[in-house]
Amino acid sequence: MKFLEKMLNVDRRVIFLLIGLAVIAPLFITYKQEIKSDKASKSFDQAINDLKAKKDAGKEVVVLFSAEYDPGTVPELSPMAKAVFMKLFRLDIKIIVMGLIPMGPPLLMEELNGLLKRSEFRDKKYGIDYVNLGYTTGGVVVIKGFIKSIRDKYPTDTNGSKLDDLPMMKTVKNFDDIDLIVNLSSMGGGATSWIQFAQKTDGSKMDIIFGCTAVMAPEAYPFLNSGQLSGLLGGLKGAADYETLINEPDKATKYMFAQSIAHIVIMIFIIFGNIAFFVRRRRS
Amino acid sequence: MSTEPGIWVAGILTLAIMSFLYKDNPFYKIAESIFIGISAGYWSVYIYFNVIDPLLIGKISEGEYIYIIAGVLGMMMLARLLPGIGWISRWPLAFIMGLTAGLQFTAFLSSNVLQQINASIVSLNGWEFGGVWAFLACPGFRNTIIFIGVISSLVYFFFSKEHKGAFGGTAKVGILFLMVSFGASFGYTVMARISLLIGRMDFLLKDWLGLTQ
Repeated sequence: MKFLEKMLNVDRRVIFLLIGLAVIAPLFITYKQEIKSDKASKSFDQAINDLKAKKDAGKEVVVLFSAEYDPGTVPELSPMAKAVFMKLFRLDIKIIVMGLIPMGPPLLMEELNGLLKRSEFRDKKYGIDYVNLGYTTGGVVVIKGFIKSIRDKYPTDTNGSKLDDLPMMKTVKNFDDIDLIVNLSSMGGGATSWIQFAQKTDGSKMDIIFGCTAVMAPEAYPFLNSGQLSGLLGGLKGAADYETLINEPDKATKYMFAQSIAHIVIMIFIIFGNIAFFVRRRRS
Repeated sequence: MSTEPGIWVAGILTLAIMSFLYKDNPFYKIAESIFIGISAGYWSVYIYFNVIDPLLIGKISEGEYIYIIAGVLGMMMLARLLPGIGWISRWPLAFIMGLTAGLQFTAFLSSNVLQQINASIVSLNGWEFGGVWAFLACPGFRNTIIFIGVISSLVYFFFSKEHKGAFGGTAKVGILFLMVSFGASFGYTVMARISLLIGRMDFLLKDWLGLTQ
């Protein structure tokens, strides 16, 4: 009983210390935890795989990759960005990078530039295989504007080049020329703005796949369930799922072992805390 | 161990911020002040060169004078800083609220209400009785859970009738579904926060101290 009483009065700093140790210790161990990808992650991958059929049919396939996250959520979202870039480059799909918050595009480009150092992707050229439109203000107004013309909102890319001077942008005028929207977000509301306003000129909805922080995932699942999202990656687990699906285990996969150990420690605290609470209530 | 000064600054500031977990202290205060100061400076410069200069001054200088209205509305927003004429900022705020409400109303109704209702109307057919896992995974069972969850949660939020009898019982089932929903949200929140901690620890151990691979 004394132990249970102590559990109810444990100093929060002891909990911080144990969680810290539970996170640090696994980082020293090179254990590779098995990752089983869930249905939402598989549908995210499938949405990109479906582009291959269009490509095989001779169509030029273009993906709009928008990032609305900042450095505070890099551990969750940057592994997703890296894995998505790898997949798109391997399928030889053209990518337009942009963002509705200032820090989004630079963080995406950091991952993309890191990949360009690999021999596998050295032949990828700016303006031919990818462009960076950067950030512009306006939020939903920007998305709504893309239905008519991308150039109205982005006359130039981040280097100041006119979009018509970039080879891959010559045939991309508006949402009709975009095959898929990839959105990574840590912002409140998540992909809702894209879901609500991204549509082609005939009014048909755009295909959207969404990667978000774990905090946002429960709110995103209803949009996946209702078919408004074609795929979803939720938090670090979603990132690890996707690394597994493209056979490129990296940071997210490595972090999952530490994540699992920390979760076990938290669960032990919750279980003992609840037992102690109910025992004390019964005794009183 | 890293030899880059930037990594060292980031490492030391990370430790200073984390020291708050023990208790409030001067190192935390210094790191917090540096963060606020740098953020304010960074965003001021960024917004000027990426928004105000190209999208306001640039447009007006190109002859698109309608942007003067946007500039005036922006200036009116700054009136909040002056106590005597702070009320002027309500006008641009009213403009933003009206614009947002008009833009969002039908879109929100479609994505968050009509489409969700549509997704909740599910077939209760498709049962499998070949084993426990097959039963739990079959569409009939899963859709029945969705059906019960939607109805009972809606009943819980219906306050025009007292929660007694069968109605009260259904509302209690609704509470259970809501609890599961809150539990899932809490679990995901824990996962998110731990992920960020792992990211920081990995930075300290690998990028700064070089202790891990």
